[in-house]
Amino acid sequence: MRSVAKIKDRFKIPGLKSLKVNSNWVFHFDGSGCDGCNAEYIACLSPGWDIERLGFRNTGNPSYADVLLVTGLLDEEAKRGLIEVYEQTRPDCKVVAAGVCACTGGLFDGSKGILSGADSVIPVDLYVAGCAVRPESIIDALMEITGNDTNKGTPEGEETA
Amino acid sequence: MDKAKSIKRDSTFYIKAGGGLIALLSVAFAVFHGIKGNMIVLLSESSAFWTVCVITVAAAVVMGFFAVKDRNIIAILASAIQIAGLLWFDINIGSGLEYAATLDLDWFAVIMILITGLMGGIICWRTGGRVSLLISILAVDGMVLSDDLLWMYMFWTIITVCAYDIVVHDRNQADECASRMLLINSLAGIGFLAGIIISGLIFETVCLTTLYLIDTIYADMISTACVFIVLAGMARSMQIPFQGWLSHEYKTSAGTASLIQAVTLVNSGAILVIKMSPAMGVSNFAGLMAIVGGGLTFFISSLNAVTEVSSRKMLADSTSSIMGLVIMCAGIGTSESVWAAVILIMFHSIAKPLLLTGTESKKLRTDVVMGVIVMMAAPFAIVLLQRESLASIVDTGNIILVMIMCFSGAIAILYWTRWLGSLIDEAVTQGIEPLVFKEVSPFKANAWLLIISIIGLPFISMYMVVPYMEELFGGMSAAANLSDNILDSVVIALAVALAAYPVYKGTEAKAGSKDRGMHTDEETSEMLRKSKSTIKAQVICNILSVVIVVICIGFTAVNLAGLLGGVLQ
Amino acid sequence: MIIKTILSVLAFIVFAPFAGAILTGITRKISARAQGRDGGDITQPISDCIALLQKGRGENSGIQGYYVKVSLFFNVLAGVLFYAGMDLLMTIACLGLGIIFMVIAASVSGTYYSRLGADRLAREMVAAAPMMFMVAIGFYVRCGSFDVKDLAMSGPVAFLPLLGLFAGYMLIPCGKLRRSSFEYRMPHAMYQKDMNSIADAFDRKDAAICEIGSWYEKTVLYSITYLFFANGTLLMTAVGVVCTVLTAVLQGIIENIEPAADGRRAFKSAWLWAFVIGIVNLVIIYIII
Repeated sequence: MRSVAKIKDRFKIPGLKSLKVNSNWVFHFDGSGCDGCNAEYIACLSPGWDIERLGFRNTGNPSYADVLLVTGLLDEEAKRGLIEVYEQTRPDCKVVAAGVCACTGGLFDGSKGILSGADSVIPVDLYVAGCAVRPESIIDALMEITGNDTNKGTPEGEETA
Repeated sequence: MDKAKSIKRDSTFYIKAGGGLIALLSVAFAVFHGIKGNMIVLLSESSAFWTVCVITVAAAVVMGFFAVKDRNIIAILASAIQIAGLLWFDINIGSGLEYAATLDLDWFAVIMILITGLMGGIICWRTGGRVSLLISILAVDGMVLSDDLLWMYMFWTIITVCAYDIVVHDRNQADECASRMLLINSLAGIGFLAGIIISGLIFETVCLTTLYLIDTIYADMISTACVFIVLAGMARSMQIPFQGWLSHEYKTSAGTASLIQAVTLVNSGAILVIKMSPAMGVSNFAGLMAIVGGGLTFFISSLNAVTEVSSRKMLADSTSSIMGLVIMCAGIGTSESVWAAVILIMFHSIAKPLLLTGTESKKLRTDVVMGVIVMMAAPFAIVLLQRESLASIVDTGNIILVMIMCFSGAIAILYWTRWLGSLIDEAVTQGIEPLVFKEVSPFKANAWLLIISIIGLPFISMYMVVPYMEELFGGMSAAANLSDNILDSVVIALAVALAAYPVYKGTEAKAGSKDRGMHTDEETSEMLRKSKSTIKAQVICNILSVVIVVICIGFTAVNLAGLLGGVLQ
Repeated sequence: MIIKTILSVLAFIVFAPFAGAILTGITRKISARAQGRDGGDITQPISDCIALLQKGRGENSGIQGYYVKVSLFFNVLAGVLFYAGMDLLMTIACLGLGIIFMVIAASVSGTYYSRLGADRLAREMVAAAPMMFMVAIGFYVRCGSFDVKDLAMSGPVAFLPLLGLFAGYMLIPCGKLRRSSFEYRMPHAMYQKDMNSIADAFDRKDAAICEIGSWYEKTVLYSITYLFFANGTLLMTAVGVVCTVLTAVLQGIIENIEPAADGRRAFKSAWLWAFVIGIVNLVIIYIII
């Protein structure tokens, strides 16, 4: 088996790494909770907001992801799941905590069994506040964390572009 | 190993030696044919006739004896009818016929003898069966060599008897399987006998060559005799309407050894039908019956195979479905389709025992993967996707036939693919033995035979099968298209090699695997597993095939009445 | 003659992924527009695949990676056979083998959903197979040959007599066109976003190869669509190309008309359609024409 892998790996496309493409893959992890932020993220995929036009793509495999989006409350069980997912992501993958429950525990901070935010489990790169977090905020956060111009795709952005 | 050799040679050694001897003889025979070319060997004139009679009657008596032991009333009756009919025929009509005992050494004989001999030898080596296995192999050889119906009938009866013997002594309590088989085969024997009697009465010959000649002159007349003979062949090869009944028993009670020797058994039915193929076609009743029966069997058996979870039962279904395809091709009666039938038999005979023995062993072997790919690819490569065969089928203008082909072909992919997926999955988790070249075993021999047959497909086709087709049907055969065959064989070989390569290196077991096994999506399996529509489909197909058989036999009977009226006057 | 063949084969090998990606992009965009969204660029699939490839290989590739590559090989082989002008049946066979190896790859992956996906993929192939055979048979009966060379370069225009088969072809085997390799399930509904497809269980590079393989497959399937119009004349060639692009558009629309169908019903309806349309069309060809 190893011999098979070795043969195939020698084929590399030159210049591939330097190509700049606008394609970001988002893995959405939802802890327990009221599912409000969950629904808001799903709304981002819907016709009202549509992040697909901005180059984002939802994925089911954490190792493909550029962004790990954490929403919802985290308890012990969700913590196990989150650690498993995080371990599969690449080193380059950024973590975004969306919604106050994922940021700090939100309304339920201090309750028994609720961890105070995603940063008690994994290092977080960007926090987005809101209860529930607005789709516009999520999109703003995703654009910022992936290094895109946050005005792109907005009406203002189209005026100034 | 040494200990076993030195202590005593037990009976299995003799069987294995016998099998090896037969294999060697087959190769020698093929070489002999290669040197001498086609021959018709005249054995003797009249004395052979009575010898054949006596042997056949003896075999039928043994069959009756088995039936009595089995307390199978219908089988007893059938045997009695056969003995009586045979005696009547021999005494009254047969002795008056111009009879010459001939052996026809043609390419078909060579192919079948090679296949049967080599595979029989491998089977003996692997399972170490009984003497009946050796006798039945020789009988199949004899059947394919013989040029007239009486000889074939003799060998046929011998095969029935041997098959019963083998199945009954199978270690897995195969009694019911054996009695069903005896029942159906003895009834089939009646059909065969009826065909012989008609042939002798009306056409005044039982010699095949003469029959073909009559057929070309008086188009399709032979089909009156042919219908019964073809029906006999179909019954032996597990076709509808006998299929469900018989294969159910095979699946539940027979051991793997019986299944393996069943390959020899169904081959004999297929040989019979192929020998009759010049007399069949879309336009006559024998052909129609073969086409519809074979096609429906292909469809229904594939459907059954999809719903099976155990691989052994699935393989039993696949035997019956491939045989259905073979008989359908033989029934179409053009040289391309019979070419397809012969090549299918070849692949099936070689790959099926490989699969059956492979599924028996605990650790997976590469050969099984190869076998599965071949079994999956063979019907498609040979029939459905081979240009000439499909063209000949489509040219018959028979929409029903075309529909059957398309739909059953699709179903056939399904069960092989699923099994292949779960096999390789199993291989990855449980680990498999790497293919060791130095080890000599029946698997290895079987696998090599498979490889040779795939790579050699263009050559086998061009040098062996096509000449036979040209002999049988006259004229150049379109199946002689070499480039297509090469392409085919290359694609199959690639598929096999690529599929089996990782398995070939052997893998270590992967730790921490959860439940494995033939996984099916609930929706798919629920949808296909004995759902109402599957059962409905099965019932409809069974009814359809019975209807067709009845219609064909009915028309034939009407024909017969006219003919007999003429003869008896 | 041989140079022409070699050139067309090389052109296929080099350009087919891009053609497949753009056709996929067209389908996705039209589908998005039909949903009221503004879908991404037409070239977005290419960006996606490049982004995935840039991430390098993970640690998970093993036997499944091997089988994904074999599947790619057979898809490419199918196209090579097609563009070399050979037997249409061999092309279909190689496409089938490509799918079979993908099924094996998915079965070998470790996850339960992956194996489910494998089974569904097999079922999808079986649902589409009768229609493919019937299309090939229809071509044979109408144009007299199974060779792609004859079908594409000469012979009567097969579209109108085979209208039923064309419609069936749009609906059924093109089901493979409607779904990207990343979504080998029914069209993605929002609640299904997390367990997308068999490709999710693959390693990164293998998923990319899976996608590229699906682009080759799509190009071949669209080429068969082109065959319906091909005549050898320049006019019909242009018409064929336009219609192929329109097919991509049509797939996007069909994807939204056909709801997230229950697998069972989809299978049965596929076979029922194939049966009805196929018989009617074949009868028409056999008897009337």
